[in-house]
Amino acid sequence: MRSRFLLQSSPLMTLRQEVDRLFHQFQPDLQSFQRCAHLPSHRYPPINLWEDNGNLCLEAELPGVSEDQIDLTVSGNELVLKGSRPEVNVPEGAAPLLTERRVPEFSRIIHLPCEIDHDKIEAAFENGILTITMPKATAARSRQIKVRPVAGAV
Amino acid sequence: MSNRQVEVKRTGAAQAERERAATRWSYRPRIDVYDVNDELLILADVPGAHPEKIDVQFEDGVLRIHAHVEPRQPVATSFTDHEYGVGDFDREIEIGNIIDPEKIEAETTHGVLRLRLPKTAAARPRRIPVKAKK
Repeated sequence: MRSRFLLQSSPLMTLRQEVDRLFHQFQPDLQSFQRCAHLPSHRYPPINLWEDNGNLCLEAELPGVSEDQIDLTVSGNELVLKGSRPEVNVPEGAAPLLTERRVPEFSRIIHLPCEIDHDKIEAAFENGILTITMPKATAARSRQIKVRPVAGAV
Repeated sequence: MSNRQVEVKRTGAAQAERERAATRWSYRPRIDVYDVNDELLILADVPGAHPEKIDVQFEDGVLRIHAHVEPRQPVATSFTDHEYGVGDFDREIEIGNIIDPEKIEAETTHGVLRLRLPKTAAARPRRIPVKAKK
């Protein structure tokens, strides 16, 4: 949901929030703003991709995964991000009341928009965020193209 | 009509400050809630949040989770693919007064907040012996 300030400032919204609570205590709240639409499993995790200073950068959110559970391979212009996200530390006999985080396994192919230098790829994982920095292949960097005048043209 | 007049009265410096802070998106973390007999277990996905920036409060039977997350890319970044936004996490969970707020334990690992909420003595499940009536 958007920041609570917006909800609290209007008496009508407060009433609506109370009613929502009553009906949606432990039900998934489909009305509220989700971080991203429920992606099909072959598009998990959601990614952000951008260019920065001759690098192609990719960021993915993988909370609850550890580095050794991430399988990252690159082939041509495709990045394959696979892994497992088993639920650890849930005691025996725990009764689930609400489970929104279920993604036990994921496998996603990401098509990169340009050629990258495979030998210089770096990947770091911190606080559940995977950041991959891929220097663009020299040929892929933008280069000024000189326009040659054709002899005899006016 | 009268609603608008009330809002104008409330606007002040504090409100303006909140408005500035509120223009960034705030997100609702996905959670798992488990009942483990003597306690509740809540797991919340808050990737990118540092432990010092996570705020957990329990008041009037409502658990509030807030995690402050700074943007990781400059605002002007032009994304080729942009499937999620980076911002604070906020979630309120209606639990009721069945847990002891003094005993809440919280820790984070790999971007997941793990909360243990021990129940009050009255709320714990108690086995009631059934006597046969002769």
